[in-house]
Amino acid sequence: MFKQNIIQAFRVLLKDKFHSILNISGLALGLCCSMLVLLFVQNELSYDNHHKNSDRIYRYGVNMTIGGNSSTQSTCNMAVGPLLQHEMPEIEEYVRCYYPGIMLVKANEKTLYENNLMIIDNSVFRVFSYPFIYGNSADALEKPNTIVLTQDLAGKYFDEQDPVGKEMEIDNEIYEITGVIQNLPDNSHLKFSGLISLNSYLQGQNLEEIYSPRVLGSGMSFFTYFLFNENFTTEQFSAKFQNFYEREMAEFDRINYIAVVEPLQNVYLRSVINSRFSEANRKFLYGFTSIGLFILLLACINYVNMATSRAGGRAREIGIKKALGAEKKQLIRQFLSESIILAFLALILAFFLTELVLKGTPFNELINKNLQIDLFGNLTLLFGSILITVLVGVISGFYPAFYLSHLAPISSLKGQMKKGKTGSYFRNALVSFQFIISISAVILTLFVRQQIEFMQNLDLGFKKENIITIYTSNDELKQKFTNFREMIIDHHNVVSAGFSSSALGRGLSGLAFEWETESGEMEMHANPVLYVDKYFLETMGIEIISGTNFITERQKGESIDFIVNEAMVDLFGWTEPIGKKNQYGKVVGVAKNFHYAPVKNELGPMYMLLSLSPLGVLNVGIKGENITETMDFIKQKWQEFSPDFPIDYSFLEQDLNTIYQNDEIQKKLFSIFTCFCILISCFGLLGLTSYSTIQRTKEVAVRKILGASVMQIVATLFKGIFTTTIISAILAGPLAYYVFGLWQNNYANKVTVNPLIFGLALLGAMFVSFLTSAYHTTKVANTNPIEALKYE
Amino acid sequence: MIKTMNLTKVYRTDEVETTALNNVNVNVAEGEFVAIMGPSGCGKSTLLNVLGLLDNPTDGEYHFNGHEVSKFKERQRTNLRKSNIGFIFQSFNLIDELTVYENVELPLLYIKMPASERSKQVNKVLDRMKIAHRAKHFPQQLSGGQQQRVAVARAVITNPKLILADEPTGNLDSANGEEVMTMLTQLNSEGTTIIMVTHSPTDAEYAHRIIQLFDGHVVTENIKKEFHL
Repeated sequence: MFKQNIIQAFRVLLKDKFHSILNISGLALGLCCSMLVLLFVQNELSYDNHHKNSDRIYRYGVNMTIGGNSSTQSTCNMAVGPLLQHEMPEIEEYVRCYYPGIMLVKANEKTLYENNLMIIDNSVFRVFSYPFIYGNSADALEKPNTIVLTQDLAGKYFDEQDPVGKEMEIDNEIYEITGVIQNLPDNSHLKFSGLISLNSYLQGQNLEEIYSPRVLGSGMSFFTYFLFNENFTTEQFSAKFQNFYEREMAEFDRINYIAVVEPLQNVYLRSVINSRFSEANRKFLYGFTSIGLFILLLACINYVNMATSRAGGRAREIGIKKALGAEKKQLIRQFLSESIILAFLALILAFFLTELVLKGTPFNELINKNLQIDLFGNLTLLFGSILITVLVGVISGFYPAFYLSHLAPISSLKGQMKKGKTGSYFRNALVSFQFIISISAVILTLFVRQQIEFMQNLDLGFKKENIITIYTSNDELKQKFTNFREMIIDHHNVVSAGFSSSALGRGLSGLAFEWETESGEMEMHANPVLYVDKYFLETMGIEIISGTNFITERQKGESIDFIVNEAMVDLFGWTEPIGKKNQYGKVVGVAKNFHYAPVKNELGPMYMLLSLSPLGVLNVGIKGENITETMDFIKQKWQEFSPDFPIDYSFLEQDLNTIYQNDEIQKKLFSIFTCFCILISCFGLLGLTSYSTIQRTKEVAVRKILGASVMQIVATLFKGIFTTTIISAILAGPLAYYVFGLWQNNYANKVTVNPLIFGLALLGAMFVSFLTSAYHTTKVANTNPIEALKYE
Repeated sequence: MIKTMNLTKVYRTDEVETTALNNVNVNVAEGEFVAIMGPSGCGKSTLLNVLGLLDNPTDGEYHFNGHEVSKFKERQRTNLRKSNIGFIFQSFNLIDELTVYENVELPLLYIKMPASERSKQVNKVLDRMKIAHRAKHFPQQLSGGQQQRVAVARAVITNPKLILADEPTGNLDSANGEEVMTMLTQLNSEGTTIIMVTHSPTDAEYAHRIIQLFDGHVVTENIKKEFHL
C-alpha cells in the first residue's frame, strides 16, 4: 500500500505540474526560512559552548547603587581576580582582560591601526580553549611584551608564514610574537584579533598596593572571568564574598558594592550582569525565529488551500476508492503521503535555496554570522530539517486529508463536490490570513524605514556636517595635539577646531558628584561627562542658553567650571542653575540639549568641563566647498606633525550613520522577510485563482452568453479577490501598528507614523493581487463560451 | 441474498425534500441477473447505491445475506462491501494516475492480500479479460471498450458475490457494449449475482428479470427468463 501511495503521489504531482511547482516552490521558501532560523538558533544557543571548561567558567560583575540608582556592570577593578582567589581556594583560576582601544601596529614593513587587541592574563589559555596553530599555550603570555595573534591577524602582517619569534611594534613598544591561535568562532562573546600579555603593564608596579580591597570600588575597567572548581556554586561564592566584604570592604565602600557572578553560558542570552546586551540578543533571536516560523506557516497554508480547492478534481478518485473498499484511514494515509512527499521535494530545493542565500547573498554579513550548511557534520540540522519537513507535511496535509477522506462516496463518485460555503470560507480565511501577515509585514517595513530616516535626519542639537574628527590614543601625540590645532587653524577652509574626550553621538561614560539641589542640600548623582576645551562648543555649534562658555584654561587645584545641559537643569529642578555647586566647583553655563548619545537613547542630563590632561579627539569644522583640498592640507600637516603615526580621522556625519548599522540591519532583514512573505502569498493566490477560475468556467460561459463583456467578467472575478485584499489590509493596519509600537519602545525618539503608509500598502496589495491573478482571470474571461460549457 | 422492505430514501436540502425511493420492496436471489429500468430521475441509481452499501436508506430495511444493514456505520459498510460487492460504472471510473494493472489491483490492497498472491490474481483476471497486454498503460491510453474491460476486471478481482453495474454499456459502441454484456452473462453463469441499471432494452434482455421503477416506486417486475436456484 505504502509503495502504491508513493507511486501515485508522484504521478499526481507530475500530472498537474503548474500547481505542483507552485506548491513545492512555496514550501521550499518556507523551509528555507525555517532552515535559516534553525541554523541561527543553533548558533545563538551555542554561544561560548566551545570552551572545554565552559560549565565551570563564570563572569564577574559589580552591582552598585549611587544616588538611589542601581546598576550592574561587567567591568571591575583588576585587583578582584587575585584578591578573591586568595579568599576562595575554590577559584582555580582567574583571567583579567581589557580593550585598550585603537593601537598602532608596525610589523613586517606594514603599519596599521588595530582596534581589537585585548590585554589579558596568561591564564586565559588554561581557562578558555583557544587552539594553537603555532607556539605553546602554557606560557605564551607569561613574559612581559609578548603577544599571541589570531590566524587572521597573523595573515594580515605575515601572510602564511609562522610568525612566532618575530617582533611587532605596538604604540612604540616592541612585542614578541609567541603564538598564533585559530580564528575565534563567531559564537563567542569575547571578540579580539590578538592578545597582549597583561604582565607587560604590571612589571615594575607595586602589586601589593594595587591589589588592595580599598581600591575595588574604583578603576573598574577590567573584565574578569573565574574558573571554579567542580563543586563551587554561585551561592557559595556570594556567601564567601559577603564575609570578605564585611571584613575588608564595608568600611570604605561608598557605592553599595555587590559582587555578581554568572555562568559563561548565560552571558550571551541570559545575562544579569549586562542585561541590555543579552536582552537585545534575545529579542533578535525571538524576532528572527517567529518571523521564520510565520513564513513557514504561510507556506503550509498554501498547501492546504491548493489541496482543498483541488478536492473537486480528486472527488471521483476518492469515490471510486471508497466504492472499492478503501477505509478513511487508508485515504488519510494516502493524502498525508502525498503532502509529506511534496514537503520532502521542497526540502531538497530548500537546501539549495539556503545554500544560495548563505553563499550567494550578503545574508551572513547582514546578521554578522558565519552560518553554513554542513549536513553530515551538523546532525541537528539534518534531523531537525527532516523533522520540520515531516511536521510540515503532516500539518499541511492533515486538513486536506481529513477533508477529502470524508467526502461522501456517491456524490464524489459522480465527481460532484458539494459547493459548500464552509470550505470556501475556510480557504478565504486562510488566504486572508496570508494577506494580513504580508500586508502587515509591508506596513511594518515602511514604518521601520520611517523611524530610521527620522533618527538620521533628527536635529541633533550640534553640527554634524563638515566636521572632521581626528583621533589619537598615543600619549606622546596627545601631549602636543594642541600644536596640530595651531598648524591648521589659520587655513582659509578651516572654520574652527576644538578638543573633546570623545566624539559626539556615541555616548559618554559617567562620573558621580554631589550636586547642590534646589533646597540647598547635596545629593550624589552619576551622569555622563564630556571633557572639552574652550573652542569645542563653538566648533560643534552647541548653543549656550544661559551663563557663559568656558573662558579661561583650567588650572590645577582651582574650582572647576561646569557647563550642564537643559536636561540636567530639569533633573534638579534648578530655577537659577548658574552658580549651583558640587564638591569641586560650580555651574557657569547651560547648553541647549544635544544628542551626545545615539538618538535611540533618551537624552539625559550631562555636563562638560575643561580637562587638565590632554584630549584625544580634535573636532575640525571646515567649509563645505573644496573639501578634497582641505583634506589634503590637513593630511599634509599631519605628516609634518607626526611622521611616524598615520592620521586617523573620519567625517562625523558618516560616523553617525554607522551608529544606525544595527537598525539598518533590522530594516534589511524586515525587507527580506517581507519579500519572502509576499512571494509565498502570491504563490498561494496564483494557485488559488487558477483553481477558482476553472471552477467558475461554466458561470463565466453563461454570463457571456447572456451578454457580459470581457471587462465585466474580469470585474466579477476580481471582486472576490479585491474584497479579500481590502478586508485583510483593514485588519493588517492595526496589527502592524501594534507590533511597530512594541519595536519602537526601544527608541526614545519616536517618529509619528505617516497614515499614508496604510493607503500605500493597500494600493500595493491590490496591485500585486491584481497582477498575480490577472493571467488566469483574463484567460477564463476570454474563453469561448461554447468551449467552456463543453468543458463543464 | 438481497431483500428490501419499504426502502425509502429522501434527499433534503434547505428548502426542498425529494423522495428518490418510496417504499421499495425488492428481492434478489443469489445467482440472479436483474435489470433495473426506468426513466431518468426515477431512482435507479439511488437504489443501486443503497444496494451497493454506498449510501444508507432514510427508512425501511435492507437485508444483505441475512444481515440487516440499513443502519450500518460507514466502516461496517466498507468492510461488507470490499469483500462482497463489485462495481461497474457507465463512465468506467478508473483512476487516471494508476496503470491498468494498479487499477485492477486496488481492491486487493484494501483487503490486504499479500503481494505475491495479488500479482497472481491480477494477471489471471487481466488474461481472462484479454487486456493483459495493456497492463502497464494508463486509462487515457485505452479505448472505451478496453477501459470498461479493465473496470470489469477490477469488479471481479475479489470474486464478489454481487456485481452492481450502473449502465455499463452507456458510453460504449454496440460492439463493445455487446462484449461487456457477454462478460456479465458469463460471470452470472459462473454464479455471480448481477444487478444492472440500464436504459437499453437490448441489454435488459440479458437479465433474468426486469424491475421497472417510476418516481421512486417499483411499478412492474417482469420475469424474462426462467431462473433456477
